[in-house]
Amino acid sequence: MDPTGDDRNQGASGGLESSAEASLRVVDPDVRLMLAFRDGDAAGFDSLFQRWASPLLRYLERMLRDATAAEDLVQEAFLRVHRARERYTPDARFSTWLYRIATNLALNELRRPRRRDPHQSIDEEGTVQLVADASPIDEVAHARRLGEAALRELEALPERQRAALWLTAVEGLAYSEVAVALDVSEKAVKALVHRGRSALAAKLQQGV
Amino acid sequence: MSELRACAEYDENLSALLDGELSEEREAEVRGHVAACPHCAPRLEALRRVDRLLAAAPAPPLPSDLRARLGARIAAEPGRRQPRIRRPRLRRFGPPALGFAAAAAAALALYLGVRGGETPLGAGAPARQIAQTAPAMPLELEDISAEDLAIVLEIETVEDLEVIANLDLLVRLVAAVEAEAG
Ligand SMILES: [Zn+2]
Repeated sequence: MDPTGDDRNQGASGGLESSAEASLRVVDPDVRLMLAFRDGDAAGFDSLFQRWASPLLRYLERMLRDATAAEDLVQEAFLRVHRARERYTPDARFSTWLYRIATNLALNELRRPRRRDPHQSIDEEGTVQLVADASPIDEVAHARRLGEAALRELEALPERQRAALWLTAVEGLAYSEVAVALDVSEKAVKALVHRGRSALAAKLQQGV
Repeated sequence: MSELRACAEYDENLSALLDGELSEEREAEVRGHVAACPHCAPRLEALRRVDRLLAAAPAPPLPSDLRARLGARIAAEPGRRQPRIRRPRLRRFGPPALGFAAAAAAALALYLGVRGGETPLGAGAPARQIAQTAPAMPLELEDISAEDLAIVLEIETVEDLEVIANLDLLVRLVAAVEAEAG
């Protein structure tokens, strides 16, 4: 599958009945908005943007480690939603489809040759920071620094572990949904999530 | 050590436990092991802590102009030159819908303004005045771009206004709105 042009939304989750559209319309308010948009209601698109732009930006920033590039890909992802509207048929939650588009865009962006990486020395920075945090003065500040350290360690993970862990642990997607977003098996998602989470746990334990 | 081998078997399931991805039966089994295991209990807690820290991490603010930038990109999509207003959309507005009429009039007025040409409408109420008569458009006209307006009206690009089949209708609607406004 070509990850660059993947604005289709079919087939990935497989095996759904023909009544999928009806049941997803009931279950997922975003699917209702997208179907309304497909049928001509521009406000549906605006609502989807309002609901999903922030979490998508958060995800893409974690993936790309670059705020400007992440903003650009948020736009690109919604542009693809916009382009796909006329042939949209729901076969998953809207967010799963959106994360699939965004993940493809992010992985593709990460593979671009000579892409600048603003956090190249991320490992060293993270380690130093964790050591410095070892004797907390203020608990709130300490907690914040730990959160930031966790993000840095997350960003140092291999990209698929990073994606799988973020989508599961923070965005609350089910393994089956992450599998669709990453185009891998559920079994692979389970392993990716656990490897990523274990690596972060090990790193963060050093700093406490 | 058989105990450690058992722990290794359970390890991946600790994440799945946190993620609610285990069957009821398997979950009970894993919980039972963790409760009795000095190795797995702290490990589960360490994994859980990762999630707490990630969730608490600061989120980047969404730039306030991101939607407008997206709107400009949507408007700049490679031109499909067929008329973009589809019948279902017109049906949705219904024949006498003043909201659509006023919005369309505002779009046309802005379009003509953007083009900088002479308005064929003669009297030509200011675009902003027309916009104020449009209940469907609570926006100040000067606050939004031509591209955004085109999107609001579900017209693909400002260019596409040129190929609207019922341009005459829009012109008549502008006249009607002007008459009401003046
Ligand atoms: Zn154990």
